[in-house]
Amino acid sequence: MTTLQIEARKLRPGEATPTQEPAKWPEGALPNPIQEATATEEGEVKASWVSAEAGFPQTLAFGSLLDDRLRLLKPLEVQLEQEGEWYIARCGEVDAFGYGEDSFQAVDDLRQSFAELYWTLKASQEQLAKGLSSVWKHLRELVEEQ
Amino acid sequence: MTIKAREFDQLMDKLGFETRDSGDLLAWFEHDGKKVLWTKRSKLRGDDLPFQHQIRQQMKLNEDQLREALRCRFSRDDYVTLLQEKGLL
Repeated sequence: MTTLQIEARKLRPGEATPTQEPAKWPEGALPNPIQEATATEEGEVKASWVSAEAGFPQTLAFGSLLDDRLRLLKPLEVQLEQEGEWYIARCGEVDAFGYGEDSFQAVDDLRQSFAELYWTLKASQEQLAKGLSSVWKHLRELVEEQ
Repeated sequence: MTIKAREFDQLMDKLGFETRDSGDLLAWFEHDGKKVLWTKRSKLRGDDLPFQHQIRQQMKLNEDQLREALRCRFSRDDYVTLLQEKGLL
């Protein structure tokens, strides 16, 4: 499997165009439905593609959540699986999953669940048992409020 | 094995999960005033629940334990004991 992660930034008015070579596309890697690209308010774009030839499970990463109040500090690795007609995106780091009729929906559902988990644990941070306490500690390392 | 949506809901009720509607049905297990774990079930049309493996994993149950729980042979106390043995409480 080939995973290519891209981070790009929108140029500000008057800013010179960077002279570096564009990222080389790995042979066989296609911007298939697993493609994930998100632009933040600051104009940053983070994207991941996974090679189309790979079967399931696949691994991909996403760099933002579906909640403007939260920012991921590093891309989150996700396992994508297929169960019958459904796609499942699973994040073992925080024991959460999302699902959908395609990989886009599954990842978006996971991003939603991730944010939901963050806010719920934050609201109950003094009342967490061992397991969720570890998850909360890990979430604080992964996520920043903005 | 398959789980039906109503069986899941009955199980949540029996084990004392607190449920909340958030697009999906979110279920939180609390013990001694502390949140211990969570899971969710889809509200998709259809009787049999998809993603049962993920649900089982989040509930920290193996297939036999889930089967027993669905047959009402697994109480909240049994569940608490199991979670204690797994070091989650």
